[in-house]
Amino acid sequence: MPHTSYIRPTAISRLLITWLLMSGLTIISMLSGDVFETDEIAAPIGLISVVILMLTTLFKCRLLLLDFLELRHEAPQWRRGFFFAIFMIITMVIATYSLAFGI
Amino acid sequence: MRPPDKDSDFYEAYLRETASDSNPNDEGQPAPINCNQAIGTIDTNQNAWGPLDALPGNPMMWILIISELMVFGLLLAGYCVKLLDNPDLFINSQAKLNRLIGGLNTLVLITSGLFAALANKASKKNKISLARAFLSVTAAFGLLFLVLKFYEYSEKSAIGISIETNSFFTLFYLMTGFHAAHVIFGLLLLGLVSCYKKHENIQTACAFWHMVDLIWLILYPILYLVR
Repeated sequence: MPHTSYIRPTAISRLLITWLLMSGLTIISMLSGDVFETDEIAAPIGLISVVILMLTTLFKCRLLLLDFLELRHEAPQWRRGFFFAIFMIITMVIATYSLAFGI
Repeated sequence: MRPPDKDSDFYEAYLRETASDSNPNDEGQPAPINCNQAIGTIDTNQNAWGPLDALPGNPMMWILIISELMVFGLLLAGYCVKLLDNPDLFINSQAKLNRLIGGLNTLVLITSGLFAALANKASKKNKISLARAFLSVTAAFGLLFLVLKFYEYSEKSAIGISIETNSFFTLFYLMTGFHAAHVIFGLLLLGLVSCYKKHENIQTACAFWHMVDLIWLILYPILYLVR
Protein backbone atom coordinates (compact mmCIF):
# COMPACT_ATOMS: atom_id res chain seq x y z
CA MET A 1 0.00 0.00 0.00
CA PRO A 2 1.54 3.38 -0.94
CA HIS A 3 2.53 5.72 1.86
CA THR A 4 0.19 8.74 1.92
CA SER A 5 2.40 11.23 3.78
CA TYR A 6 4.02 12.46 0.52
CA ILE A 7 0.80 14.19 -0.54
CA ARG A 8 0.46 16.08 2.75
CA PRO A 9 2.12 19.50 2.65
CA THR A 10 5.12 19.73 4.96
CA ALA A 11 5.21 22.48 7.57
CA ILE A 12 7.47 24.65 5.40
CA SER A 13 5.44 24.22 2.22
CA ARG A 14 2.26 24.98 4.19
CA LEU A 15 3.84 28.26 5.34
CA LEU A 16 4.82 29.10 1.77
CA ILE A 17 1.31 28.33 0.47
CA THR A 18 -0.16 30.53 3.23
CA TRP A 19 2.22 33.36 2.33
CA LEU A 20 1.38 33.05 -1.38
CA LEU A 21 -2.36 33.06 -0.66
CA MET A 22 -2.15 36.04 1.67
CA SER A 23 0.07 38.03 -0.70
CA GLY A 24 -2.12 37.18 -3.71
CA LEU A 25 -5.29 38.25 -1.90
CA THR A 26 -3.59 41.48 -0.78
CA ILE A 27 -2.54 42.28 -4.36
CA ILE A 28 -6.11 41.63 -5.59
CA SER A 29 -7.45 43.92 -2.81
CA MET A 30 -4.93 46.60 -3.80
CA LEU A 31 -5.92 46.41 -7.47
CA SER A 32 -9.63 46.54 -6.65
CA GLY A 33 -8.94 49.55 -4.40
CA ASP A 34 -7.35 51.50 -7.34
CA VAL A 35 -4.01 51.85 -5.56
CA PHE A 36 -2.21 52.88 -8.75
CA GLU A 37 -4.56 55.82 -9.40
CA THR A 38 -2.77 59.11 -8.78
CA ASP A 39 -6.02 61.11 -8.64
CA GLU A 40 -7.92 61.33 -5.37
CA ILE A 41 -10.78 58.84 -5.74
CA ALA A 42 -13.60 59.34 -3.24
CA ALA A 43 -16.43 57.49 -4.98
CA PRO A 44 -17.95 54.79 -2.73
CA ILE A 45 -17.09 51.26 -3.87
CA GLY A 46 -20.48 49.83 -2.85
CA LEU A 47 -21.62 47.44 -0.15
CA ILE A 48 -20.95 44.25 -2.12
CA SER A 49 -17.33 45.25 -2.75
CA VAL A 50 -16.91 46.14 0.92
CA VAL A 51 -18.34 42.76 1.99
CA ILE A 52 -15.98 40.92 -0.41
CA LEU A 53 -13.02 43.01 0.79
CA MET A 54 -13.79 42.35 4.46
CA LEU A 55 -14.40 38.61 3.90
CA THR A 56 -11.02 38.46 2.15
CA THR A 57 -9.50 40.13 5.21
CA LEU A 58 -11.22 37.61 7.48
CA PHE A 59 -9.79 34.74 5.42
CA LYS A 60 -6.28 36.23 5.53
CA CYS A 61 -6.53 36.64 9.31
CA ARG A 62 -7.69 33.02 9.61
CA LEU A 63 -4.67 31.83 7.61
CA LEU A 64 -2.36 33.87 9.81
CA LEU A 65 -3.91 32.53 13.03
CA LEU A 66 -3.81 28.90 11.91
CA ASP A 67 -0.44 28.70 10.16
CA PHE A 68 1.78 31.59 11.27
CA LEU A 69 0.54 31.75 14.88
CA GLU A 70 0.26 27.93 14.94
CA LEU A 71 -3.22 27.79 16.45
CA ARG A 72 -4.19 24.95 14.06
CA HIS A 73 -3.07 22.33 16.58
CA GLU A 74 -4.12 24.19 19.75
CA ALA A 75 -7.42 24.02 21.65
CA PRO A 76 -10.33 24.86 19.29
CA GLN A 77 -11.73 27.34 21.83
CA TRP A 78 -8.77 29.67 21.23
CA ARG A 79 -9.13 29.45 17.45
CA ARG A 80 -12.85 30.17 17.68
CA GLY A 81 -12.29 33.00 20.19
CA PHE A 82 -9.77 34.88 18.03
CA PHE A 83 -11.75 34.23 14.87
CA PHE A 84 -14.94 35.47 16.56
CA ALA A 85 -13.20 38.68 17.74
CA ILE A 86 -12.04 39.46 14.18
CA PHE A 87 -15.45 38.49 12.79
CA MET A 88 -17.09 40.99 15.20
CA ILE A 89 -14.77 43.80 14.03
CA ILE A 90 -15.52 43.02 10.39
CA THR A 91 -19.27 42.82 11.00
CA MET A 92 -19.09 46.18 12.78
CA VAL A 93 -17.33 47.76 9.77
CA ILE A 94 -19.83 46.33 7.26
CA ALA A 95 -22.80 47.45 9.42
CA THR A 96 -21.30 50.94 9.74
CA TYR A 97 -20.74 51.17 5.98
CA SER A 98 -24.31 50.12 5.18
CA LEU A 99 -25.68 52.65 7.70
CA ALA A 100 -23.45 55.46 6.44
CA PHE A 101 -23.75 54.95 2.68
CA GLY A 102 -26.88 52.82 2.32
CA ILE A 103 -27.14 49.39 0.70
CA MET B 1 -14.81 21.13 51.70
CA ARG B 2 -14.36 22.69 48.28
CA PRO B 3 -11.49 25.28 48.16
CA PRO B 4 -12.54 28.86 47.37
CA ASP B 5 -11.87 30.36 43.94
CA LYS B 6 -8.29 31.60 43.39
CA ASP B 7 -9.52 35.15 42.71
CA SER B 8 -11.71 35.34 45.82
CA ASP B 9 -10.76 37.21 49.00
CA PHE B 10 -10.86 33.97 50.97
CA TYR B 11 -8.20 32.18 48.94
CA GLU B 12 -5.22 33.55 50.90
CA ALA B 13 -6.89 32.66 54.20
CA TYR B 14 -7.59 29.20 52.83
CA LEU B 15 -3.91 28.75 51.86
CA ARG B 16 -2.76 29.84 55.37
CA GLU B 17 -5.22 27.45 56.96
CA THR B 18 -4.21 24.48 54.81
CA ALA B 19 -0.49 25.26 55.42
CA SER B 20 -1.00 25.25 59.22
CA ASP B 21 -3.00 22.00 58.91
CA SER B 22 -0.09 20.26 57.22
CA ASN B 23 2.49 21.33 59.90
CA PRO B 24 3.32 18.78 62.60
CA ASN B 25 1.18 19.23 65.73
CA ASP B 26 2.43 19.99 69.26
CA GLU B 27 3.16 16.33 70.03
CA GLY B 28 5.42 16.09 66.99
CA GLN B 29 2.91 13.89 65.17
CA PRO B 30 2.33 14.70 61.50
CA ALA B 31 -1.12 16.01 60.73
CA PRO B 32 -3.39 13.73 58.70
CA ILE B 33 -3.11 14.27 54.96
CA ASN B 34 -5.89 16.38 53.55
CA CYS B 35 -6.71 14.77 50.21
CA ASN B 36 -8.39 17.91 48.79
CA GLN B 37 -5.35 20.02 49.61
CA ALA B 38 -2.93 17.62 47.93
CA ILE B 39 -4.99 17.48 44.78
CA GLY B 40 -5.42 21.26 44.80
CA THR B 41 -1.68 21.86 45.17
CA ILE B 42 -0.82 19.56 42.30
CA ASP B 43 -3.47 21.22 40.14
CA THR B 44 -2.12 24.71 40.87
CA ASN B 45 1.46 23.76 40.00
CA GLN B 46 0.68 21.93 36.79
CA ASN B 47 -1.84 24.42 35.41
CA ALA B 48 -0.57 27.78 36.66
CA TRP B 49 -1.89 29.80 33.66
CA GLY B 50 -5.06 27.83 33.08
CA PRO B 51 -6.15 27.71 29.42
CA LEU B 52 -3.29 30.08 28.42
CA ASP B 53 -0.86 27.19 29.01
CA ALA B 54 -2.23 25.56 25.86
CA LEU B 55 -0.96 28.42 23.63
CA PRO B 56 2.53 28.48 22.07
CA GLY B 57 5.12 30.71 23.81
CA ASN B 58 4.94 32.60 27.09
CA PRO B 59 1.37 33.05 28.45
CA MET B 60 2.16 36.66 29.45
CA MET B 61 2.65 37.48 25.77
CA TRP B 62 -0.77 36.05 25.00
CA ILE B 63 -2.33 38.29 27.65
CA LEU B 64 -0.65 41.22 25.85
CA ILE B 65 -1.84 39.95 22.44
CA ILE B 66 -5.45 39.61 23.63
CA SER B 67 -5.42 43.06 25.27
CA GLU B 68 -3.88 44.66 22.16
CA LEU B 69 -6.57 43.10 19.99
CA MET B 70 -9.18 44.57 22.34
CA VAL B 71 -7.54 48.03 22.26
CA PHE B 72 -7.47 48.10 18.46
CA GLY B 73 -11.04 46.75 18.39
CA LEU B 74 -12.14 49.69 20.55
CA LEU B 75 -10.21 52.18 18.41
CA LEU B 76 -11.94 50.79 15.33
CA ALA B 77 -15.29 51.06 17.13
CA GLY B 78 -14.49 54.76 17.71
CA TYR B 79 -13.59 55.07 14.01
CA CYS B 80 -16.97 53.57 13.03
CA VAL B 81 -18.86 55.96 15.33
CA LYS B 82 -17.07 58.99 13.85
CA LEU B 83 -17.61 57.65 10.31
CA LEU B 84 -21.35 57.49 10.96
CA ASP B 85 -21.17 61.06 12.25
CA ASN B 86 -19.67 62.49 9.08
CA PRO B 87 -19.28 59.98 6.20
CA ASP B 88 -18.39 62.61 3.56
CA LEU B 89 -15.49 63.98 5.60
CA PHE B 90 -14.11 60.47 6.08
CA ILE B 91 -14.43 59.49 2.43
CA ASN B 92 -12.80 62.74 1.20
CA SER B 93 -9.98 62.51 3.76
CA GLN B 94 -9.33 58.85 2.97
CA ALA B 95 -8.88 59.78 -0.72
CA LYS B 96 -5.78 61.78 0.32
CA LEU B 97 -4.05 58.65 1.67
CA ASN B 98 -1.41 56.81 -0.34
CA ARG B 99 -3.14 53.46 -0.89
CA LEU B 100 -0.14 52.01 -2.71
CA ILE B 101 2.19 52.49 0.27
CA GLY B 102 -0.42 51.00 2.60
CA GLY B 103 -0.67 47.95 0.33
CA LEU B 104 3.10 47.60 -0.01
CA ASN B 105 3.37 47.75 3.77
CA THR B 106 0.83 44.91 4.02
CA LEU B 107 2.94 42.78 1.65
CA VAL B 108 6.07 43.66 3.64
CA LEU B 109 4.50 42.59 6.94
CA ILE B 110 3.07 39.36 5.48
CA THR B 111 6.54 38.48 4.18
CA SER B 112 8.14 39.32 7.53
CA GLY B 113 5.52 37.08 9.18
CA LEU B 114 6.59 34.21 6.90
CA PHE B 115 10.23 34.60 8.01
CA ALA B 116 9.16 34.83 11.68
CA ALA B 117 7.26 31.55 11.28
CA LEU B 118 10.30 29.99 9.57
CA ALA B 119 12.52 31.18 12.45
CA ASN B 120 10.14 29.53 14.90
CA LYS B 121 10.25 26.25 12.96
CA ALA B 122 14.07 26.37 12.75
CA SER B 123 14.46 26.99 16.50
CA LYS B 124 12.06 24.11 17.22
CA LYS B 125 14.48 21.84 15.32
CA ASN B 126 17.36 23.41 17.29
CA LYS B 127 18.87 25.05 14.17
CA ILE B 128 19.75 28.19 16.07
CA SER B 129 21.95 29.91 13.47
CA LEU B 130 19.27 29.40 10.81
CA ALA B 131 16.64 30.75 13.23
CA ARG B 132 18.79 33.84 13.84
CA ALA B 133 19.18 34.38 10.08
CA PHE B 134 15.39 34.19 9.65
CA LEU B 135 14.90 36.58 12.58
CA SER B 136 17.30 39.06 10.94
CA VAL B 137 15.29 38.93 7.69
CA THR B 138 12.09 39.44 9.72
CA ALA B 139 13.63 42.49 11.38
CA ALA B 140 14.84 43.84 8.02
CA PHE B 141 11.26 43.71 6.68
CA GLY B 142 10.07 45.36 9.90
CA LEU B 143 12.53 48.20 9.31
CA LEU B 144 11.34 48.50 5.70
CA PHE B 145 7.78 48.84 7.02
CA LEU B 146 8.89 51.72 9.28
CA VAL B 147 10.76 53.44 6.43
CA LEU B 148 7.65 53.29 4.21
CA LYS B 149 5.50 54.53 7.11
CA PHE B 150 7.89 57.44 7.71
CA TYR B 151 7.78 58.29 3.99
CA GLU B 152 3.97 58.25 4.09
CA TYR B 153 3.85 60.51 7.16
CA SER B 154 6.34 62.96 5.66
CA GLU B 155 4.37 63.00 2.38
CA LYS B 156 1.23 63.93 4.34
CA SER B 157 3.10 66.50 6.39
CA ALA B 158 4.38 68.16 3.19
CA ILE B 159 0.82 68.89 2.04
CA GLY B 160 -0.15 70.23 5.47
CA ILE B 161 -1.97 67.16 6.83
CA SER B 162 -1.39 66.41 10.51
CA ILE B 163 -3.07 64.68 13.45
CA GLU B 164 -5.13 67.85 14.07
CA THR B 165 -6.48 68.23 10.51
CA ASN B 166 -9.79 66.48 11.21
CA SER B 167 -11.24 63.52 13.12
CA PHE B 168 -10.35 61.06 10.32
CA PHE B 169 -6.68 62.01 10.44
CA THR B 170 -6.68 62.03 14.26
CA LEU B 171 -7.87 58.42 14.26
CA PHE B 172 -5.63 57.52 11.31
CA TYR B 173 -2.47 58.80 13.02
CA LEU B 174 -3.54 57.36 16.38
CA MET B 175 -4.08 53.84 15.02
CA THR B 176 -1.19 53.69 12.53
CA GLY B 177 1.17 55.46 14.98
CA PHE B 178 0.24 53.09 17.81
CA HIS B 179 0.74 50.17 15.42
CA ALA B 180 4.14 51.54 14.33
CA ALA B 181 5.11 51.75 18.03
CA HIS B 182 4.29 48.04 18.27
CA VAL B 183 6.49 47.34 15.25
CA ILE B 184 9.38 49.14 17.02
CA PHE B 185 8.73 47.11 20.20
CA GLY B 186 8.57 43.94 18.08
CA LEU B 187 11.96 44.78 16.53
CA LEU B 188 13.44 45.17 20.03
CA LEU B 189 11.97 41.79 21.01
CA LEU B 190 13.40 40.14 17.88
CA GLY B 191 16.82 41.60 18.77
CA LEU B 192 16.52 40.31 22.34
CA VAL B 193 15.59 36.76 21.38
CA SER B 194 18.46 36.67 18.88
CA CYS B 195 20.71 36.90 21.97
CA TYR B 196 18.59 34.84 24.40
CA LYS B 197 17.84 32.19 21.81
CA LYS B 198 15.86 29.59 23.76
CA HIS B 199 13.03 28.13 21.66
CA GLU B 200 10.35 29.48 24.01
CA ASN B 201 11.78 33.01 23.73
CA ILE B 202 11.82 32.88 19.93
CA GLN B 203 8.30 31.45 19.90
CA THR B 204 7.10 34.28 22.19
CA ALA B 205 8.68 37.07 20.11
CA CYS B 206 7.30 35.53 16.91
CA ALA B 207 3.80 35.36 18.46
CA PHE B 208 4.03 39.10 19.19
CA TRP B 209 5.26 39.79 15.65
CA HIS B 210 2.34 37.86 14.16
CA MET B 211 -0.05 39.88 16.34
CA VAL B 212 1.42 43.09 14.88
CA ASP B 213 0.95 41.56 11.42
CA LEU B 214 -2.65 40.53 12.22
CA ILE B 215 -3.61 44.03 13.36
CA TRP B 216 -2.20 45.62 10.18
CA LEU B 217 -4.14 43.08 8.07
CA ILE B 218 -7.33 44.46 9.70
CA LEU B 219 -6.30 48.15 9.68
CA TYR B 220 -5.22 48.37 6.02
CA PRO B 221 -8.56 47.65 4.28
CA ILE B 222 -10.58 49.64 6.83
CA LEU B 223 -8.42 52.78 6.80
CA TYR B 224 -7.28 52.79 3.15
CA LEU B 225 -9.73 50.84 0.98
CA VAL B 226 -13.28 50.84 2.42
CA ARG B 227 -15.04 53.88 0.95
